[in-house]
Amino acid sequence: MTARDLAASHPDTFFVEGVGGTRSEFRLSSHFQPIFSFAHRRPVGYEGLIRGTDPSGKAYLATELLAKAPAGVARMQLDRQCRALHVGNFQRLGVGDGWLFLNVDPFIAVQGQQFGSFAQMLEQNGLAPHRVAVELIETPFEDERRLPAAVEHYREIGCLIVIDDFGAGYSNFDRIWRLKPDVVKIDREMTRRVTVEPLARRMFTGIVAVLHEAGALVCVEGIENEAEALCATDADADLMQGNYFVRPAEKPPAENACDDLFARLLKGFRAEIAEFNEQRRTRLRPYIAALADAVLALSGGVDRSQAVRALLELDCTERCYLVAADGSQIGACAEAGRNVGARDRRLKPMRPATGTNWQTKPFFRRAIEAPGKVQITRPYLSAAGPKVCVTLSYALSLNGSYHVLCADLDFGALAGDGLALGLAQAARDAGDMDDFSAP
Amino acid sequence: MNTGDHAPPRAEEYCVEGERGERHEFGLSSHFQPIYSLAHRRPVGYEGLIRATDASGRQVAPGELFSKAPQGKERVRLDRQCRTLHVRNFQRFGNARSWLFLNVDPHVAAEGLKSGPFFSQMLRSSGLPAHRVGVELIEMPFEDEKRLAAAIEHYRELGCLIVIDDFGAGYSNFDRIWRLKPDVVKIDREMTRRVTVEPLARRMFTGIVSLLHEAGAIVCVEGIETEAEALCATDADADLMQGDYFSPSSPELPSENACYDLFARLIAGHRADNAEFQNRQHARLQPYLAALKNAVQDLSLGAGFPQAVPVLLKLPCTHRCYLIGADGLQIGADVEAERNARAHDRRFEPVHPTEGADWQTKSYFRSAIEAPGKVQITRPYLSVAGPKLCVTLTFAFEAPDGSQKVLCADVDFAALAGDDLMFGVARSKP
Repeated sequence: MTARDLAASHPDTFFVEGVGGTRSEFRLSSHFQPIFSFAHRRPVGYEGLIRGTDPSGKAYLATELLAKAPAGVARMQLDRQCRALHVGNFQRLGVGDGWLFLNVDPFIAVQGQQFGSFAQMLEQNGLAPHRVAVELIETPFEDERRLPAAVEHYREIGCLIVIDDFGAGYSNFDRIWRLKPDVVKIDREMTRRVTVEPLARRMFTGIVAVLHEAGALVCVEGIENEAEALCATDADADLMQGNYFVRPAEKPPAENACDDLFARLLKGFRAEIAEFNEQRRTRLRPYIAALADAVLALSGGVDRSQAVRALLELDCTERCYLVAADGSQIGACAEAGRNVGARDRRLKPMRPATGTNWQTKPFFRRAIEAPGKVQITRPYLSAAGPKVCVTLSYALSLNGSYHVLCADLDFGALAGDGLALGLAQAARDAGDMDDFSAP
Repeated sequence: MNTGDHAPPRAEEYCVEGERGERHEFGLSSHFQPIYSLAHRRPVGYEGLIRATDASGRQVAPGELFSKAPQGKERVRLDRQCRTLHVRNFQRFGNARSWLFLNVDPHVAAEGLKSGPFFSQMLRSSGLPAHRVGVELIEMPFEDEKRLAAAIEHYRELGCLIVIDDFGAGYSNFDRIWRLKPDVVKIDREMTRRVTVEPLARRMFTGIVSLLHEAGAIVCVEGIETEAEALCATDADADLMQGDYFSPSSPELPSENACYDLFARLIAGHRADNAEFQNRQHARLQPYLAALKNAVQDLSLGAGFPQAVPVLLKLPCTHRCYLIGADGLQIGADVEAERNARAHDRRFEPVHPTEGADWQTKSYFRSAIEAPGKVQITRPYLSVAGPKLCVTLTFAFEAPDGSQKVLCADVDFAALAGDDLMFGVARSKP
């Protein structure tokens, strides 16, 4: 390969026959966007993206271009042409051992095999299949059962299987089970939501964790700013892609182009975690202290409603209840005064009462396994509703057997706006609050 | 509740003209399936299900029935007739506190919004308060998700609970959760079936339920047919359960305490299973924990890294060991188990080598550094050093030079777990 070969990517031409026999011509070229491994701080792959221009110089994105080609054979040919162009141009870049990510429509994955082999095209271009990641885009496919066979074809060649746009439209868990992908890319809309919606932010970490348990590497794409990159870092994403790091270009920048950016990102991340932990500690402290007092009072034989009064008077406490060692609730909940009027009638069938059994709930199980230590749950909708709450629980010995004292705190009020960004961190660490000493 | 206490169930006729002018006639009746709360051990709601028969008396599946009604006005009419029938039949029971879950096609929900206050009027005339109705949005593509959100808002304003059906399959995806903010999420039945046979699905199940909890929803597992499925749902901390294992659907409601003993048995079974599972897991991990502690002891006495880990590496499931500094950066290369180097998957070459890689954001690093002198263990995940699912054991210790270091060992999860070490998965096997 000579230096001149490396200079520019090879454009291709694509003709579309219009309805009235008009012929439009498009010039196609490859753009590549690096996909960074967070742990390695360098690109481990590049996604091939097609750019088309018409004779007047107007630019078209991949979807606009594909829409120009009539569905069926013409569109399939265009898709194949794009992929071959990416592979050829990628080889000319000579980027070492990184992956090339190629987008494939599920329909084309199933139908396209009859138009010549993908493996052959790779071989002609000298790109080993184990360096190719086949990205299955989010598109409904009328016969999902045929999809696994088509995907198996790419896997047998030796390619990595990637599911794109997870969490939106048709890119759902059923595809994960059927296709067992090596990499899952999370839907860009999710990336955008995480920095603005506490709900999305809280769930983001959980979604990444579930995908990790599915045995996939998780890629967050469409990262446009530092806040989104911080959320992806916090959620423990393996791979990151987006204009915040590097924009798509015919020739991607040097491998170490983002070294400084990653260093800054990590520094910002560490500072944020430290600040968040401090905030959380500060806000929870009065509740932990009041819970400890209530436990002391109960152990000293004080009447139940008397013992939890101070705890109930704190701003975010919704209700307190006592659970026996077999998991059944003893008596009714003691509700905070301000709370009673705000009850959601819709949740009445679920309202806890004497005898409601909590023994399978994590807040009960964890408390009873570690008596004498305060436990705190991840935020969830309590059966008593209507607000998302966290439950503090503590196992104490009363009359010779263990009892668990529980307090539901209004999570939204407790967290406030300031805690939204770090929420996931709290969730991941939730469970054992060793750092809070209780009686 | 006694069947003699109330009027016999209503049945109705439904006639529709097909596309070629042919006439279809169906007899419609309501079935109800109880939805149990695990904590309460009694039904907290009932799902209304349509049962249809054609002129020859043949049973017609709901999907087939609805496919006979052309999209648009006719589909809305059939959907409304079914819902009205369910509400009237439900009211016969005189049940004053449970929910009634009604299925709604997203198209019908959106169409219905345009065509007037049918639903609120029907509920009012039947005497069923809106806050006792759960509107179940079935999994269907819908071209305009914004219009869907507006239609759902209409039901919420009436005071109904919003339920998303079939979560995890097709279009019942996270984007709908965010847009529609449901009160209850029902998990796709295919997931319920998979959890007892596929370790992958089983592992993810608990995570999915807890995600939905964080979304602020009550989680219902439906389609439960066996004890094994019920145990998995219990273990995953589902709030509500529904399925033939508890009560099949029928025109009448079973008594409220019909499943009380079954729940007691289920919870006792879950406890026993859980204890046994913990014991097995503990027993299998024991040699790895011991070898890790020995390696740490050698390292803190000044042994070189490759000299400290051979015993750990020789255990059958150990993949690799590596050392991380207090700053999160990997010191030196991985030491790989011999059997592992050969099995290396070339597809994962871009994420090698790992010397100098930064692990400071990883929970296994952070939890170790926060609790020095204690072994930490992750949940199974795919390491970027791939290609197999592993669990990572970590241990923070003080090196001879006074600095803090973290010793990590990736252990092949599948090999360690074997077939039987997945809670609930093996139970379905004879």
